[in-house]
Amino acid sequence: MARHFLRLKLRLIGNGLRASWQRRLGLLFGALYGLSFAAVCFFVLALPRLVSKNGHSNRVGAALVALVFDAMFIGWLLIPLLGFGNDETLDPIRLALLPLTRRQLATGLFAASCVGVAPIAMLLGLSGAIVGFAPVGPGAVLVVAALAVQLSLCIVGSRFVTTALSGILRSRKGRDVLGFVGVLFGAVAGLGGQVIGHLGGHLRHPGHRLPAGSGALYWLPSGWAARAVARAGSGDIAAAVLNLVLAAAAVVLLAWLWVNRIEAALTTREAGGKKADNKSGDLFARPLAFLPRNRTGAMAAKEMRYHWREPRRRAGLMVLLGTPVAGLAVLLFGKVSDPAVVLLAAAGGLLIAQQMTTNQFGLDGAALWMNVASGGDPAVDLRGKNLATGVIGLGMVAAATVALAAGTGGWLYAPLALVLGATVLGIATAVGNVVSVLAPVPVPDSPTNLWQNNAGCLPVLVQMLGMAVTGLLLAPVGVAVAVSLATWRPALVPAVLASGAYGYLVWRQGLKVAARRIRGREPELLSIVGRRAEAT
Amino acid sequence: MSDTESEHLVAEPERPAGERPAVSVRGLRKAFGAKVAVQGLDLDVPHGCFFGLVGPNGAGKTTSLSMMTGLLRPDAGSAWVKGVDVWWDPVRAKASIGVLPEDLRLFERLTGSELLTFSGLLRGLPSDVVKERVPELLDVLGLTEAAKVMVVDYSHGMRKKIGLASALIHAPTVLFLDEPFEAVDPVSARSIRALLERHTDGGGTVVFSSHVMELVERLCDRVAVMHQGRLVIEGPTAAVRRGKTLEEAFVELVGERDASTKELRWLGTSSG
Repeated sequence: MARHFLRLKLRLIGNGLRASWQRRLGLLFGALYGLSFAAVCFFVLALPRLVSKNGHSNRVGAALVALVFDAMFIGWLLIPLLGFGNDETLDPIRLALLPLTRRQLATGLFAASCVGVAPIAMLLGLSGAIVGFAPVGPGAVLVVAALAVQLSLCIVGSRFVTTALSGILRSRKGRDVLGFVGVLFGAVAGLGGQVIGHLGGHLRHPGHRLPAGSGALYWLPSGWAARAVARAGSGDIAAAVLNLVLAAAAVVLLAWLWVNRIEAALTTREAGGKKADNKSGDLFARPLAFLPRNRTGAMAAKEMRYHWREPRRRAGLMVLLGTPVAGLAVLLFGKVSDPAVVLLAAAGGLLIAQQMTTNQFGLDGAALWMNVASGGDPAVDLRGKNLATGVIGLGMVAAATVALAAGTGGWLYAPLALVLGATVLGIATAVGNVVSVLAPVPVPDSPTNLWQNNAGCLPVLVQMLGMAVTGLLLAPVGVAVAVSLATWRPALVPAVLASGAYGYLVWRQGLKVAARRIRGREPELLSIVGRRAEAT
Repeated sequence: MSDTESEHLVAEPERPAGERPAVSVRGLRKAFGAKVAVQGLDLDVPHGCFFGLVGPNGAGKTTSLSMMTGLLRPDAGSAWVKGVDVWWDPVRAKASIGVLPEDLRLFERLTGSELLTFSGLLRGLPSDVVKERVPELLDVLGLTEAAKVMVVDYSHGMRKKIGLASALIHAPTVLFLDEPFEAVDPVSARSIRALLERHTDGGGTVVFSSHVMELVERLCDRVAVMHQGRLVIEGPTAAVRRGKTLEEAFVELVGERDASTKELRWLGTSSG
């Protein structure tokens, strides 16, 4: 049975590659990414012995290998969830109609998940621990055994989690939550990378005090496998064997849980979410009551509700919340006292507008037919979208302004920062409008797959060009503000006001150019953004 | 209008104003790469008519409806709705039509009532009119309880109904519905049928595609059968049936072979 599953997986990969050049390119990049990941892992795990003679036997080296093992384990638990639905061999429900025993299913699914870029990259990366820790003698066998246990732990653990959550993953709400988990995982992975760098730098100092809470590294079974590697490296065979047995027992337990879970996964369904999250059911319910009750207002309300309800956009919004947080960080860590630093809040407008306006129609996707079928002026739709961007963007800029002004006492600069923020938003939105119609990119349906898109070379080029144009258009504003700051600060008032007028004109012009380009070509735009993005 | 459009302009056939059909199509053609989906479609749909467009999968029904409603630009040919060229004056033409596409992709992160409000305002209706019509439509289509539920959580049948409600909110005179009864439960199908019949009784026109021949036979005054991108026959339902059931007439017309008894003799013989 395992042979059939292996052939199925290979056939699916092969068919995917034959289907489109995007997939071939995807696999190529996946392989390159996997190889670079393997190289980094190999290097980090080999580091203890490369850097220091006793690196493999000190606490820092042990913490390093535990961190890498834990990160791998958590990665294996979470990443397949993000790709759920894209790999038919991961979802047992797809095999529900086949007359297979639980054992056949388990061996088959396990075999299928051993094939692919990730397991191979993992194996290559782990082998770094042999260089970094394996001593001469029986300890080397223990290191290799611990690596095999770690690999099995990752694969069986990921199978168990995917199977146990498959019902939830098929529900819309489950997938929405997962979108968040993905973003969170990305943030934690970044933090983990920094800690690895920090530990690597202290390998030569066995007495280096480990950060508080580093004991948590050994809470997971992957931590036990890591400790088995470290202890085997330092010659403590008994402790190594004990940890290895514990980790192997965890593999057996996970495998048992998984096999028992498969049957339940095949026969149960998650209840569909039918709960309303807007109690009034009114498009213009608070806090959107201020919007005009016309096409522009309807577009703006739809956009703003989407920013909160659609997981991809909500994740983007969460990232944008970083704007006021960054404002606070400038104060806390930068030790800035000049009240003019409040003006920096306006820079957040650039980030917000670029994220929200670069692919406005692509985000609508096939549902854009509703606008096209209704006729009407696409400029009105764009204005509505821009209104939503402006409200959200100005809100963020205002929050950053308040944070910076409260910290520096530069309240005098707050109104200027707001006008400047609106200017930056207007200019970047103008360019975003034009880029949106020149290079619309279809966005895939899957809300869990936050990073996949079908952007070809041309849209990417246009987007890059758009960023350059935004920079050029913002240059006069930057120069006016900088010169006023450096020479005579009261001049900031006319400089910022003139910038505001300039920003408004640029926005108007951008809207006009974009609308002219799109008018009469709505069906073509619909056929581009309505294209279903292929799952990779 | 772009240059490419004007190259394919076809004049609407001359008729006295009173005889002008609700929908008129001349020489409509569309190819996707080497595959020709619709090849020179000519069609007239009279006012107040319940018009059925039938054909096997891949016959070109959806492509034709998309071109008639301004959602897909034809390679050649023209379509008029109430005498207005859909591709020459799309805004005016679209004002009088309601559309329910087959692949019903909606702004599904809005709740049912939000989506209807959005559709109404998109159509330029005054907000008080929208406020009045939204609960009425939800009620008639049995969606009142789901009014505050996001469309993403709707069943397929409920999506069809909210899509139909969106197509009706601006009181269009011509409705284009692609498989409106697909996956709709019998009770809802009954209310949709009643709604559409009321629409045609009031002088409105319905053009709809369906695979359910009994339904087309029962509802439609006129039927057009498409096969491989071409119109095979068009006329009053009784004339198309020629004394048979519509399904028999349809199978005969499109020349689909019947499943031969010689094939798959092993079917049903397995003991396991």
